[in-house]
This record gives sequence, structure tokens and C-alpha cells, in this order.
Amino acid sequence: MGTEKVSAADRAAVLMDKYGNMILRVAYSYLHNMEDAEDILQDTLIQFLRNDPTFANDSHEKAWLITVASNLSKNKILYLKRRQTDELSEELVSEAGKEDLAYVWEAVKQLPEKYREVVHLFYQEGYATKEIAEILGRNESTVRSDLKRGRDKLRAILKEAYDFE
Amino acid sequence: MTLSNKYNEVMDKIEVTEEMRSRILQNIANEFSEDNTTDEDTLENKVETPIEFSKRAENRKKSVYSFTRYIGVAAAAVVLFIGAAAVFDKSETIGKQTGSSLSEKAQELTHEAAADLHNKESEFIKNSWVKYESVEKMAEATGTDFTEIEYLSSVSSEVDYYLDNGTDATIVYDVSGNAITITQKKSVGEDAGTAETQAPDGNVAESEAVSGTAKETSKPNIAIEAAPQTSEPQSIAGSAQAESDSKKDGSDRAVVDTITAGNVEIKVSGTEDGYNRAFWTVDGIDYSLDSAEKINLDEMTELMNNILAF
Repeated sequence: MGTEKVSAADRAAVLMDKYGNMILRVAYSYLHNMEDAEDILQDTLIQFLRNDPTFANDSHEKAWLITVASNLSKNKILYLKRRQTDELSEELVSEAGKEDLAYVWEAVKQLPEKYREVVHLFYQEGYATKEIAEILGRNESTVRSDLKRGRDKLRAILKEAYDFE
Repeated sequence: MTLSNKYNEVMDKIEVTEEMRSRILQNIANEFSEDNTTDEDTLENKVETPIEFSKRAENRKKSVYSFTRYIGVAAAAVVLFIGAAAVFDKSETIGKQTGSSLSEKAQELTHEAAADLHNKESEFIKNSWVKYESVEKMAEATGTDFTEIEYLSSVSSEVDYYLDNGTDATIVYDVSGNAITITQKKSVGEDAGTAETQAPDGNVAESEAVSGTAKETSKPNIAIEAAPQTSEPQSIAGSAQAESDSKKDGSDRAVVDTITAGNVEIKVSGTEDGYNRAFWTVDGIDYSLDSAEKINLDEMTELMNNILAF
């Protein structure tokens, strides 16, 4: 039992080092709360270890983790109705130029969830719309449409509030 | 600077700290340590009641804050029943197979797996239920194309697979946040208009008869029960299949509505203080969902969107 315990922790550590930031950011993009995002990161790793899925390659593995993290985040939002968000955690904007980041983040938080998740995967993870469609289980045309609307909405919010171009 | 650069600049500041890393890894180590213990302890007790699911979840809650910390209640179970084509008269001896669609091989597999069952009778996890390792093995044993709901699987800490009487498949999703029952009934072709369901007393009844209070909402093959269900987790098995006792006082007023997720039309029902049931059909399978916690229409729509996204 001891060996298995170490093994699970070791595997989790490898996953954490490889995908930890990515999963945490996906979760944060939904939940806007670091504590909740940490929960999702942990649960995603546990799901991975429990299911022990096999993948053809790293990109497949990454997509699986994003899907699970997204689903867990949605589940959390759905049942808990806890959309308490960080006021763009001070530590996140403690550096120079924090006003810029703060207003961008405030704008992101105003986006509907379906736009936000597409925007995150497109900007942060660099996925193409086709890949995002596969990860989120939507039609590519829907993803394209959501992405366009999300970006337009983001620009509109920023431009209106901050004269952002 | 572009919008995408700004977005990434914010996101890049969100990182796993060393403290967070240690915390999570310790929790995971504890979690899997407990799992090993649990596996050993349950060799003789492979089928758990919904009450036991809750207890197990409570135990996990003590050591791993994550799965249940944010919900404030014990982890709950999602039960997915998949009704196969054959329907059985439960008034006959439980466990006695009355259908004739199984191959001999399937029957052998069923009986072999049945040997693993514990002896304890449960009101909800019946002693006629046989536990399988995977949905694939269950499908192989029955020759029916049983599948899981991917969304529910991905948010469950554990998924268990049961076969009742050799044909009725039940998949139990141990998820956090709510106690939800999802019933799948495979359409029976020419009998589509008279889908049968099982009443709590063990008798098989036609859907219209069981859900008499909501006849006007029924569509062929869907056993809609507009009356409120008990919110106790113990209701998982019974409430999905037939009317529960909670309607007896007649105090709650049934509310029925229709929503759409994707291209699927979903009938939802509940009472004035929230919805707790949903019914839809996809690919010839009739589904019904029963939530212990009443949720509003937006939340029900969101849940259905998640379920049907895959």
C-alpha cells in the first residue's frame, strides 16, 4: 500500500509539473477564485489517476485534462452557485502596469461563460477553433461564433470603459 | 498591446505555488491511501447502498477537502439506469430472469458476476444487481449498446456499473453537489407508445398509469412524473422509476415546462419552488433525470447543456 501511495503521489507530481499551471488557469477562467481553482486542479489530477486513461500523444492528454477541468468547473458553478470572484487578486496585479491587467480581467469576468471558455482556450492555450470544438463538445461553427462574439464583447467593454483599442 | 497579449499577461500570473503543490500532492496521497484501504475492506461487500455512498463521501471529505469542501453537503450519487428492451415483472421472484433476449454466454457472465454480490438486501440496490467492471463489459454481457454520459463521468469521483436481472443496466455516478437520478430506457420500437416503468411496489406499469398526475405532459415512451419527489438520497432508485410517496400529501403543486439544449427538447418538471426532473429522448433512448435538490430553470438548462454537449 505504501508503494502505491508513493506511486500515486509521484504520478500526480509529474502531472502537476507538466500541466498544473494550465489546469489552474482553465479553472480560474471559469471560477475567478484561486481557492476554487485549486480544488479543480486537485480533482482533475485525481480523476486522471482514477481513470488512468491512455492517450495517443501529449496533445490528446492535454485535451483530456482541459475537458475534465472544464467540466468540474462547470459542475462546481452549477451546484454551488458560488461565483464569488477574486477582485483580481492583488498579487496578480502587484506589478507595474496593474491597471491595464485589472481592467482586462474585469472585462473578461463580464463575459458569459460560453464566450469566456472559448476565449481562454484560444488566447491562452493557443487552440484552433476546431480543437476547441472537440474539447468542449460543440460544433466548430458555434465555437467560431462564440469566439467572435466573445472578442467583440470584450473589445466593446474595454473600449467603453477604458477607451481600449 | 493587443487584447490577446493582455489576456495572457493576466493568466500567466496564475501559477501553482510551491505551497499549493505540496498541499495538493499530500491530499492526493491521502486520497489514494484511503482508496486502497477501502478496496480491501469491500471485497466482501461490492454493492453499496446510496446511504453507504454518502458515508464514504463523508469519510473522504475529512481527508480530502476538495471533492466535497465546496458543496457543503455530502457527496451524492448520480444513478444512471439504462433500461434494456426487455421489461420484467418484478412481482415475480427478484433475480429471476424473465426476458429471453440474452445469449447463453451473456447469462453465464451474468451468473458469474452475480456470485460476487453480497448477501445484504437493500431496498434500492437490489440483490439482483450484478456489478461490472466497466460499461463495455456490461454492454458485452447484454448485447446492448450501453454507454456512459461523458460529462457525468468526468465530474464523478467514482462510477459503478450494475446490471439488474441481466438486462437493466444501472450506472452509478458518485458526483459532488447533488443527488441526481438519471434513467435511460431503451425504446422498444413498436411499443414506443406504451413504455413501461416499474412502480415502487414492484409491479410494472405503463407510464401513463404511473404518472397519472401528469398525463398531459407525457409524450410517447417517456414516463413523466410531474409530482414532486422526495429529496432524500435514499430515493435514488425508486423515484426515477415511478411515483414516490412524497406526493401523498398533495401539498406541492406540480410545474411542467419545456426547454431546449442543442437540438433536443427536454420536458422539465418540479414544483413552484424549483425543478427536479427532466425528460428527453436521444437516439431512441428515453432519459429521465431526477434531482434531489430543486434547481431553477436556468440551472436545469445549464445542466442539460453540459450533459448533452457530448
